[in-house]
Amino acid sequence: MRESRLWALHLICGAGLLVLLSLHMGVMHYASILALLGWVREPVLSFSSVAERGRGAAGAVTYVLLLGFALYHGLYGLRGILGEIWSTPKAVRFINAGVVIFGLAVLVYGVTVAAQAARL
Amino acid sequence: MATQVKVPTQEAVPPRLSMRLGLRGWVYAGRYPAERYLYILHRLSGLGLILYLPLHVWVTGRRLQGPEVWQQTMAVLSRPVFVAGEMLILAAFVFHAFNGFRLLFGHLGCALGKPAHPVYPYPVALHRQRSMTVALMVLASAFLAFGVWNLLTK
Amino acid sequence: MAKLTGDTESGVLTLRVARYNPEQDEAARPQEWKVKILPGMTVLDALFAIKEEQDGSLAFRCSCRMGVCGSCGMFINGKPRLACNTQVSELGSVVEVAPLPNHDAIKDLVPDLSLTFSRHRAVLPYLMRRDTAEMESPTREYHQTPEELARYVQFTYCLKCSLCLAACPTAATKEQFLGPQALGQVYRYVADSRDEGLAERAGVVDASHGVFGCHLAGACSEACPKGVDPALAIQLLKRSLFSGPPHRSAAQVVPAFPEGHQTPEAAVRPKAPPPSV
Repeated sequence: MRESRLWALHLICGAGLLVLLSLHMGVMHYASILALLGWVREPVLSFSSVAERGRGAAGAVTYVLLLGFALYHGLYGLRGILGEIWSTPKAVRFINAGVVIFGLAVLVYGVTVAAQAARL
Repeated sequence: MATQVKVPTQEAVPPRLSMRLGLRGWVYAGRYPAERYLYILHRLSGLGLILYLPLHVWVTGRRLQGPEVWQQTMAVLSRPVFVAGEMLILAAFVFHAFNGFRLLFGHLGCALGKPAHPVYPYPVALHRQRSMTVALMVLASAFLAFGVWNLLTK
Repeated sequence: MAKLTGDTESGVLTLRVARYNPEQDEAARPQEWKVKILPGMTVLDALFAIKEEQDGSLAFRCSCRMGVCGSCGMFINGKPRLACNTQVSELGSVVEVAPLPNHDAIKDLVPDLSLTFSRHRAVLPYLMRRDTAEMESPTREYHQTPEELARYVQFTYCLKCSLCLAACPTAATKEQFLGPQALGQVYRYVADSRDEGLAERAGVVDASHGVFGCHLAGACSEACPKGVDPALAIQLLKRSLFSGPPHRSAAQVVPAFPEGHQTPEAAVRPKAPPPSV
């Protein structure tokens, strides 16, 4: 695939992360604002809150999208950084393969967790 | 009479001294302005976040094993060393997000102004988004301060 | 104006030069000289003063002495600069000079710029037209408005002095990276309304060692002595790879004049009198 396509996807995922990750961080780290507004009653990290957020298809899809965006954006960046240190064709092939395998492994694990958590 | 042409022999090229900076060239921004320093921080924070992500996925996956395991995990994570780590990750995220917003525009050639006939003192396009950069960094600091406060009072 | 400090007030400048003699040295070795400051003295003038009065073996490259040829790029007090374009009064009493970073030094302050030039050639730095017959043997010129000229003229001022490459953090580790100079020149041609070569150049620069090796640190534009602003050119080039060049259609050749047409000048100009002898 041409580099421009991969790079565009990196930017799109970055933009997606700005929205989804801000939402995620808003819930996790800025809960006192949400509590002031009366949107959150229980502590965000109690088991019931955690289970509640991941329940249902909408929760699972949001988590999987967030994970997909973060993995692609982060691993594309990591590939770029490593490729600037080791840039021989052999090293580049090794880095590309490593990043893809690692990304897929984490994604598969994340999807499994999200699917099971949706039924909790 | 045939003239003898002297063919110059190929002499060995004397050794060159490589001045390539290597990793020092990434982390030493010397006398360059703010954007060059933001480049270093963006790389460092990005590296931190991508290394943290798989750990985070693994830790949050432990909720599948029921409330007891989850409570234990949360108890471990409330130790000061993990709270400090969480603050670092929060700082990395807040900076990376706000600076990333700026870069998103920059990489697409937006908010950089238009090329023109160069007239001394020569303008630098990145300086045209300086006010946006400053505003974003102020916002990032405010969000970070509030996030840290929220973490400490949790 | 920068304030004169330390010894510059007493009129003496200390120059600390990183020297390298390929026949003797394995690494750079520092050497110091003191030079009497003259009004308007540049770093290049100071180097000449050393070469003429103190050490004739000091090697550096220069030609025009006025910031036009781009030969005397050096690393001066922590920044790549043209020695002829840098007043010693800007720098304080001690001036440290080293060969350009991210390049090979041939001897003392002489950098090897051959990689810069070969990268420049690799990005097809000339106007390209689909009509190859007209391109190879042009019959007339192309139309271009002042507005169309303004879109790229800034980037034509590149001297190929390689200061931008010396400043670039990507070039610090990745030798294959085309670098700000070559990538900036790609946009110089892509943005030229007379050019139709974006697709062919995209084949060269659409790569991680091409335009996507730039992460907008902006150091190249700070180092550029001519206001070319390679960082701006590279970001606009990224945009062009997705949305095409900034002009909608390539400039057309100026239409041929009808037969018997006289230019206004020729019509006004009085005819020369017939020879009298």
